[in-house]
Amino acid sequence: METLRTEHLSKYYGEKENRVIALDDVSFSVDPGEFVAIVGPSGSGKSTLLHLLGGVDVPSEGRVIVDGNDISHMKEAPLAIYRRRQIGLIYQFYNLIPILNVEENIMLPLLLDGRKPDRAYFRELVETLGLSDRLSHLPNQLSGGQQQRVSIARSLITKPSIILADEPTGNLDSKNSAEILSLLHRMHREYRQTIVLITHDASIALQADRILTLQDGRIVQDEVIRR
Amino acid sequence: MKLLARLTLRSLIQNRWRSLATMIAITLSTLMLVSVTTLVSSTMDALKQREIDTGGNWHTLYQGVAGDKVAQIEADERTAASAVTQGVGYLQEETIHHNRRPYYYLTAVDAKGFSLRPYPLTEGRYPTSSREVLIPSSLAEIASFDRSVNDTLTANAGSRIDDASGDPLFQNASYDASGEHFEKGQERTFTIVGIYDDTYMSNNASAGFDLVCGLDAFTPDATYDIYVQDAQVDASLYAHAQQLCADSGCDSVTHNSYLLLYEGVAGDTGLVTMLKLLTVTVCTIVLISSIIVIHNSFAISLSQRARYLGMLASVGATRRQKQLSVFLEALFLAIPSILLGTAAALGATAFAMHLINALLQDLAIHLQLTLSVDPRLLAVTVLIAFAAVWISAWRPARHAGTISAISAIRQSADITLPQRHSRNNPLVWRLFGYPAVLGLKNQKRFRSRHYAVLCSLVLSFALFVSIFALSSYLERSVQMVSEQLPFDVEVVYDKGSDRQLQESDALLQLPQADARMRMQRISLSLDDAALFTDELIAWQQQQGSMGLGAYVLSLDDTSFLTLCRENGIDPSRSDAPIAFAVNVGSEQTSSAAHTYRQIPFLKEDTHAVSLMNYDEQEISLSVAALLTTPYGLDAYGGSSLDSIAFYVSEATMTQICEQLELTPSVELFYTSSDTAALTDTIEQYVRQHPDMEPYISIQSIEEGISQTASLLLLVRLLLYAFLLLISIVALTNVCNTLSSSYALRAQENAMLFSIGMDKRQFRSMLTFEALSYAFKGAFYGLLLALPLCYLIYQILGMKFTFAFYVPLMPILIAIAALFLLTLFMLLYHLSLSRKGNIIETIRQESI
Repeated sequence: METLRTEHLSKYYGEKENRVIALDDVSFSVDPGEFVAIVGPSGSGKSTLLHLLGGVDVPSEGRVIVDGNDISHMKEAPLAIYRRRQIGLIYQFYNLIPILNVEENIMLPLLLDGRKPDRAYFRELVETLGLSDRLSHLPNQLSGGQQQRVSIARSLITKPSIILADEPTGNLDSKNSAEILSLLHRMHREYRQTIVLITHDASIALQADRILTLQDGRIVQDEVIRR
Repeated sequence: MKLLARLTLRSLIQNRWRSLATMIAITLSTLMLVSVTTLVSSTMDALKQREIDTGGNWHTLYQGVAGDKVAQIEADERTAASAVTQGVGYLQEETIHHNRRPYYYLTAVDAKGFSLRPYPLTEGRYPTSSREVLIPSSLAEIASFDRSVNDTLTANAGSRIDDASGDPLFQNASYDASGEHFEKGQERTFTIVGIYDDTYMSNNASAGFDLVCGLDAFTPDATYDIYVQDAQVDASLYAHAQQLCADSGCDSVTHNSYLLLYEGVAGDTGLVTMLKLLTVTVCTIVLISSIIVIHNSFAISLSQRARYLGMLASVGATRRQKQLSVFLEALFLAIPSILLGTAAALGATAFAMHLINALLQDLAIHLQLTLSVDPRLLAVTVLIAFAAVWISAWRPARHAGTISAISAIRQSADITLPQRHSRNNPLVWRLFGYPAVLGLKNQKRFRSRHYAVLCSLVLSFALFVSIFALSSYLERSVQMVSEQLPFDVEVVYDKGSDRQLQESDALLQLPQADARMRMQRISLSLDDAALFTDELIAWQQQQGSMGLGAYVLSLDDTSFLTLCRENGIDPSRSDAPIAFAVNVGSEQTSSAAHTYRQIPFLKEDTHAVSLMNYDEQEISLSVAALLTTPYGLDAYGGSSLDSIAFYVSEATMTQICEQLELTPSVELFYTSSDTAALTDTIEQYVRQHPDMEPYISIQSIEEGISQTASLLLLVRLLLYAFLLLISIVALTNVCNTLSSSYALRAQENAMLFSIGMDKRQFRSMLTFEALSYAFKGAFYGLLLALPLCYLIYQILGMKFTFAFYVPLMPILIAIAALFLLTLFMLLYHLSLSRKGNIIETIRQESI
């Protein structure tokens, strides 16, 4: 059974002659453990689609079903819980909380959920991401690559169903980019994490299992790279 | 420079609410500074003018100057104006118009002297020769003195001679009919040419009404007093006056010390010191709050412009240019705000003075405030306002200079939270959850702003409570005065005649009075210590005093008979004059708590007392009963341990007075539910009996309390106006800081929502942040307010007859206001968060 499915998903802004269609009747599904890259030119609706999948935005039409739950018409409170537990979001500009140190930033979804962290899993995660000696640092004391690792760790701490990454290497140099991608692959391999990643970079896209190409709000190509 | 100015101006317009908040703070601060200094300088001017009106416009008085030396003093280089006067002496008419003031005292003044001496004309003109006189209004109003301007006045010149010593008496000695006589001299006739208002100068205890005639010419062997107005009013006038006095051979030199005080030359009296202290204190409070607010505002502005300043640095702006942008912001905001604040202050002060003058007029206080703007003081005050803005901008400007291109681009330079402060509070976490912990961290992230907000809240809280406490103490004082006095209206009739008692009979029958009592009072002493109780003796030993004062108070027949009846005494059965003793005095047991205890004067078996006067003449009274409280409307008995009061009948008092050759004044006391009607009736009766008019004084306690209450209201209005302005400044700071703080965290808040914080948790975070401010503000505010209240209680120097207390209601109101404010901020933040879109917010800050 797929972990994620969209049915005739559409998102538009404005009315009548001022209407802008960001997404137009998008339907697809993602199987558990799949690594999907979403590519397309600027303004094709990639980020809009990602935000709809993450429950951060509400579709104008259609549905988003995650693990059998229709999130498109969920009320605010259960949607917040969904975001907290089922989704891991990684942004291009990290978006860490400046007043929390690395450990607190990573734990934040758990803390909001009122859950005690699995310390063994936490240690494993930070060791994997090379953050063990940075736990008490504030974000402004970290490099860009380190901040993005923290962002990745935060997205994984709750063992979510899906990781949604919006240009996670867009703000990094090539060395850091390679490292981040390597980590994502590792998460994918070791934890069988389902990943949906937006990228402009074709070489990054080709590292995914499947590439969805968007243009003018529609899926124009759905290509399986490897099974 | 032009580019920077343009960019700065654009930024100010773009962030118009923040700019407006800063301008409000600067305007209000300037308004308060200018208002306070203008009010104080106007008050000093008014006091100076009053001194001139009542005492004359002179600085130095040379007394006993020989006639041939007058010109020397008048021609002195420092003499701007002078008044030459000569005390001519006493006159007495055949008809006496006032029993206590049977004479006229004539003073001659030269023509130019009337501009310096305080003889404000109400009718006619000034005299130009020694045959023309100016009479005082207090004499002209006496019905029996039925003369006016252009009428003649004929009287005998002469001297008052003290019977005992044979020495002459002057105006500093009151009239003593039995102890002096008048040696008549030549008869003189004058033409009355004018009447002057002596309301504020007349000494009612002097023996003669002050008449003024013209000074014809100087004679070498006569002596004169010369009042001099100095051309150079500074500290050197004292030495100069001494020198001139020595050169001219005058008897003595004195100075118009109050006028010199108000002109800033003489040393300070308590009033002037208090005024100066008050001005400095108020201005300091205003400056501190202003600097906190304005500094905070510039710091916030800097945070919001950090990125663009970094961009400026990246295209080549120097450190100086970045600093200049902050100073330019200060200048652009300061100029219109300070101008507006100054203009508003002058307008507000003029309006306030108009209200104060109306009140002073109702209170019959001879003081008129006029707006007096000292240009130098105004310039200094405006400069201080500019300096305050500059000081506030200095630190942010320094910080602006250090913003590098890369730190601005990284948007990390604004976070000042050091590592040690990122610890979580386990107690808060356990009790309120993790969102509350986040709220606390958010509060402390901008440390200086956090303290700025807290300072504003604490200062406003403390000022509010202490100002209301001051108001409460003043009100309580007034209340206690009214509680201590058993009567509402007092009339004193002091004609000094044998028939004065009978003449006041009608005043005992007034229907508007609920209760009435007539008394006469004489002071004697009781020296027989064998009659004293042990407690009284112990107290006297402790105080080092001996003997006991004794008031003998006569009661009108009705009151006396009632007193006899209440004590089961039949006065007709006693051969000797009977008296009732008020056999308790009060001793203060704690000055701090203002508690008292009662001590009996005389032993229980006391049946007779012998009282003595100063001449050791003795009277004996039979003590009918020992009372434990004063009777009726008497306010004398039982008030202290120095004197005991004895009530006798009026017949007994008449006998005693005949024996001791005394004529005590008649005092009437009333209570009434309508004191205004009662006093009107009394005044009407007096007008119908003009022969009583000069000797009657009416005092309405309620009117006095009402006048005091009006003064209190004025003081309160000024205090509350000050409090309101300070609170607005503080409120501006709080709103500005908290809303800017939220704006700066918009992206973070959006991110928190995106990773799963729900609205309830977000509300909890903001609520805890807001409540934390409220609790801390109240706690530290109380810590500051309580000692302030005690300080006010002590420093004012008023002898409050109640123990120190802190009024609870203002504290509760201040706490409620704090929580309301934080609730308002919370609701505002929540409304902002509802309007925001997560996606757009996250995107916006990432570009």
